[in-house]
Amino acid sequence: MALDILKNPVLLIAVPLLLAFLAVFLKKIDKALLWIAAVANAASAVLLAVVYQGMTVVELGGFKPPFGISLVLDEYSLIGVVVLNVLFALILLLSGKLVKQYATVLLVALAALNGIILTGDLFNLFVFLEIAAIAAYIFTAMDKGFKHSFNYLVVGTLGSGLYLFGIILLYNIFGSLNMFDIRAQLQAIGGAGAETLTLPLVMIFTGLSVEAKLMPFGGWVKGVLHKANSLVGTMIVSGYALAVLLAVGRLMDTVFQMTDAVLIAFTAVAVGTLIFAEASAFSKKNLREILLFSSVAQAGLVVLLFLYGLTVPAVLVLVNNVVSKFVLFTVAGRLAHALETDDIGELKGVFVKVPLVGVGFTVAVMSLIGLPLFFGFVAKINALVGLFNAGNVWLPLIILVMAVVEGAYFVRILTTLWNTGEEGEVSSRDNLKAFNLDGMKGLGVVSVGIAIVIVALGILPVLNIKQFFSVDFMTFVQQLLGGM
Amino acid sequence: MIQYVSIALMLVGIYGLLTQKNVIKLIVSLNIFEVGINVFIISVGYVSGGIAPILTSQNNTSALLYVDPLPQALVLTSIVIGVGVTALALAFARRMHKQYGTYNLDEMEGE
Amino acid sequence: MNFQLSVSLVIAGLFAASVLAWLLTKLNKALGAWVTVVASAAALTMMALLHGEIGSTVNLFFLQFTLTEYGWFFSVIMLAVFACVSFFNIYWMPKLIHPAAYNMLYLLALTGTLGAFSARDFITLFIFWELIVWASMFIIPFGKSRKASVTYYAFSAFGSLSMLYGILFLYHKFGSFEISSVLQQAAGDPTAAIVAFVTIGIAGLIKLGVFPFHIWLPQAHGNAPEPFSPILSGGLVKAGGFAAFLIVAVMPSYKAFSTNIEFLGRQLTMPLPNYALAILGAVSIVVGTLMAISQNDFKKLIAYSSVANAGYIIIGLAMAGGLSTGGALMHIFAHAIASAAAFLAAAAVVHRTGTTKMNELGGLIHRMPLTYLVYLIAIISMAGIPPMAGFISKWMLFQSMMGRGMAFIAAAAFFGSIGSFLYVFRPLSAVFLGQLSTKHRYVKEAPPLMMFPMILLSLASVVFGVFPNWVLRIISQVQTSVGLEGLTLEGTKIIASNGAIDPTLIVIIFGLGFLIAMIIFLRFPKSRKVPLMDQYTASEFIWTPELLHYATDFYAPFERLYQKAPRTETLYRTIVHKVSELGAFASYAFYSFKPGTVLLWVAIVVVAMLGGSVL
Repeated sequence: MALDILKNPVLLIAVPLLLAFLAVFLKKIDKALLWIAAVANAASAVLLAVVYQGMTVVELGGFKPPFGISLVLDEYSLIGVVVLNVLFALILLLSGKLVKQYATVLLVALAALNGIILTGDLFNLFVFLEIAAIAAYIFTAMDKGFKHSFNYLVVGTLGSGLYLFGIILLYNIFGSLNMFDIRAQLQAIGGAGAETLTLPLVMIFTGLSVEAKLMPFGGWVKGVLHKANSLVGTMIVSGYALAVLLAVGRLMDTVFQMTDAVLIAFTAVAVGTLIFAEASAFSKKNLREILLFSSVAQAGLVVLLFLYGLTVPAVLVLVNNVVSKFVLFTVAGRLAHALETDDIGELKGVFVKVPLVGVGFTVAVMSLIGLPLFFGFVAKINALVGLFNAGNVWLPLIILVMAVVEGAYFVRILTTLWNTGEEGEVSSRDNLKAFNLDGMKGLGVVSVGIAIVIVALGILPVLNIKQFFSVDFMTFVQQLLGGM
Repeated sequence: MIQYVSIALMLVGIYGLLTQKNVIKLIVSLNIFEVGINVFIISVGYVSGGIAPILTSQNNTSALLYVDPLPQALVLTSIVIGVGVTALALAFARRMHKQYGTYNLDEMEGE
Repeated sequence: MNFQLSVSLVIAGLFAASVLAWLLTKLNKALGAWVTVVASAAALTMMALLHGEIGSTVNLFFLQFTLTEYGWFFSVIMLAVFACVSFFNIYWMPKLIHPAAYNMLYLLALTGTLGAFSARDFITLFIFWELIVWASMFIIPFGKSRKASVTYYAFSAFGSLSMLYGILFLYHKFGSFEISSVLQQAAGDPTAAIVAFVTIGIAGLIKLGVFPFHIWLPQAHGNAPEPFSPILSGGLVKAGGFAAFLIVAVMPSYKAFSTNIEFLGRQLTMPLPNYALAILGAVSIVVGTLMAISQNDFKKLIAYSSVANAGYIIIGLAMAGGLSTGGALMHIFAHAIASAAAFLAAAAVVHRTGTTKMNELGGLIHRMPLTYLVYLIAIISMAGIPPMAGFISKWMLFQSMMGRGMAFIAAAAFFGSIGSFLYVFRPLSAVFLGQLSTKHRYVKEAPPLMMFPMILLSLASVVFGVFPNWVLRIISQVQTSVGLEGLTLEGTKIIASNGAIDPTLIVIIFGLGFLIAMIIFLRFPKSRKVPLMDQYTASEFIWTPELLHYATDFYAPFERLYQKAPRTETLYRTIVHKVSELGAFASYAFYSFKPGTVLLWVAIVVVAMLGGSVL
């Protein structure tokens, strides 16, 4: 009986929110409350995954949708919730010292991010987006970056305003704010009249793209993240990216009924993001800037996949990106904090001193690029096969060309960080700079742990390659887990 | 009619955001934008000839013509969020002034 | 799990060995290096024994491997090179920055090549192909250059991702990944054939180092740590030959494309795409030769020579006849051995003297005679002079070029051969002949464990030059297995349409000539020795004696002819620069610290998306 209460996904939102309110009053123990919430959420999410039996719709307040707000827990949001909460706990584990007085804000952010993933109602999504955004405005100002946070605030509020405008137009047309209800109505009219949806869809897409960091809407990202510490960086690049992009996917699946012109417009934005962001990352010399542009590019790729209905590959690519970026940004932030610089040229040979961290970083990078024997390869293959099956031959070409660019700058990072010496000098331990790097053991252990998971997830499908290509990935995982 | 006003307000707000350099003016423009949106939302719920959606001792059946109450609830939420964001923005403005000595974005140098 | 000898066992074993090498190197560096030696030697013997298993399919946890004749041939060459080179790992352990990673990645690269050559379906091929790339990409920066690894990765990734595009395109069309069946189906479908040819062809060309994708070769091979250069040059580029073989022989391209083309009133003898390959090969030969002649660093010189030889291989494969493919495959074999031996000799020199700059060395024949001999044999084989194996393959290639009437390509090939005399002689005379520099007075000969593989490889070059039919019989089998005609071999003779050669006879005549030259040399008066640096400068002090070393600007008059010619590197550097500029522009234009700029872009894009439909 008690277990039934624990199986309710509302707890994922309610517990952190409640503890946030408590933390306002009980300032002395706010960090402890944050930890409790993170662990409880992670455990609850895993529990939900274990006992998952099928789509669950939780009606808040007992009002049936579309009159009330509903939370939807299907396979899609389940993956999101598990990854988000586990990542949040890990972020806290590795960057916990940086929290200082922002515990309350982080609790609110945790609640809001879970809400974004779980909700089935458009306005509820708006509210959670705003809450998460406000929390982000606050904690991104952590290291005195007020100007950048203000920039983020203005752009973000405008984006949310446009999103709100869009959903009100939808309400005007359909009389409902529930995503699934709108989808049912759209299926009933069978695709006619999609032109009227152009304005609301463009508004909604724009609003979400601001938060999802697509170009050129995400112009706030460079300011906010280029000097971010490991806590802020990972929260935005892993936590927020995951939640917002999953919301985008959910909306594209349910509400978006696009005419060809609109589809082309959105594709152009996504492809433009991919190309420009990869080129930008290629031109940079600072580790955090490279990583933030790489995140933007991956966001563009994920949105592109969602646009063409390839939900499963998009989720795989997204999860791969988010997990890898978590490792990468934590390492980058910690290195920058310890060494006062994140210019790659200054960091030559740094991994010789912290090899565990280096291995974790390297595996994460290789998974991000999509090299075989790592999870990223599985995700990329799925995406490309899906695009070909959708009849598209030019998009895979663009994606693969950009993958070369991406690989080039990441390999540049890896080879510089593992080796010493100028060009023309043999790399050796003799000319290693004396880096002052203490306290990285925990980071090393966690990153190697994640690396092992990435490799395991990369090898398992490869070993069952025929099965892997003949069935849907979800069925494949179920069969695999069932067989074990 | 009112919808055109609200769109005009939104456009004024956006214009302000695009052209103003003073932080306080940016916040004001943001507020104008939000007001525009809120007015638009309420106008969506309007039903001609409808009355306020409250059951009183005189209007005590649900068969009468009410305006749509849902957008009004949405607007309340939106106003509150707007207030919160404005407060935060003003706090940022204050901190920026302490850090850079000016309220003008162009004069704030450094990273 | 049954332990029957099979390809999957070899591959699984190598995976395990790479992890073992890593662990053991952490304990004791030399022990870890010995693991690589033992593992590659064991894999070589097992692969040799597996000749009987050709055609059967085995599984490694559902990855499927099939050993084909050509796969076996390529694998044995690769394994021979890896096994011989692995002896050098032992001596390089103290010099490397990450010895444990090196040993592990060494064996992983080997696993990758074996997996790629025995793959049954394209996905397995791609996975192991990429494994080769990322294993070697980490080793190259242990040497002299980090940028070389980025260039290597960028080119390799372009090739493998192009191949991936082709693979997925074919999967979408034919619903299967199995290599031989998909390629044969592609031969029947023009669009699929072109896509497959171009994408897989690009992958092969890049890996082989054919113009215009050759610039990574000298950077990577020249700057990699010394024991890994022979692997890159003698081993891994042959994977490119494998990919080219797939499209030319397995597909095969002459079935896929029309051979009935008229050009300037004459009938072409090959399909157009094959012609494109042959032309690229011809340009490769010329470019490689010319660049090799102007090099001062002898590792880079050998690397450019590999570019030229890659041109020969591609021409032979493109012609897709019996003799030409045989020539190409023989050249792959001969070049692998010779290139590996040359780089190993270079490594031995570096081990003893610490430098690869030719104008700092000299006279090492007095102190390292065996190394000199190894290098001499290797470089003679690469130039195609009898009695080495390289001559046989070049003869076969020339024969087929003349037989088809491809005059211009033959002219390029002849130019390459003659030019190779030039670049062959320079390192030989600069490094080994001439006078011993005083700082190398006490240099010792290379240690015995290094001499062992070097002598082995040189013996192979010589023996297979005198008795090439031992290898050619196997090559003939490879050709007939994919449907090409085999070679006509009679005893020790090789018979072609224009004539036949008997290598044994050639060797005997060559030996006689050598004897006569030696008698003349011993009989007649010798020259007087003058110290090299004894220069007369009218009592001025020489600040830069290296410039007066006769190896500096050795071929200056010839080099001046093409010094001003545009280089391919400039093209690639421009491309990289443009991408960087695009990125910097995007970062500047779209990203800003002020809300106004960002919102301006938002407004512009929103209006563009709405496109007037709302207004």
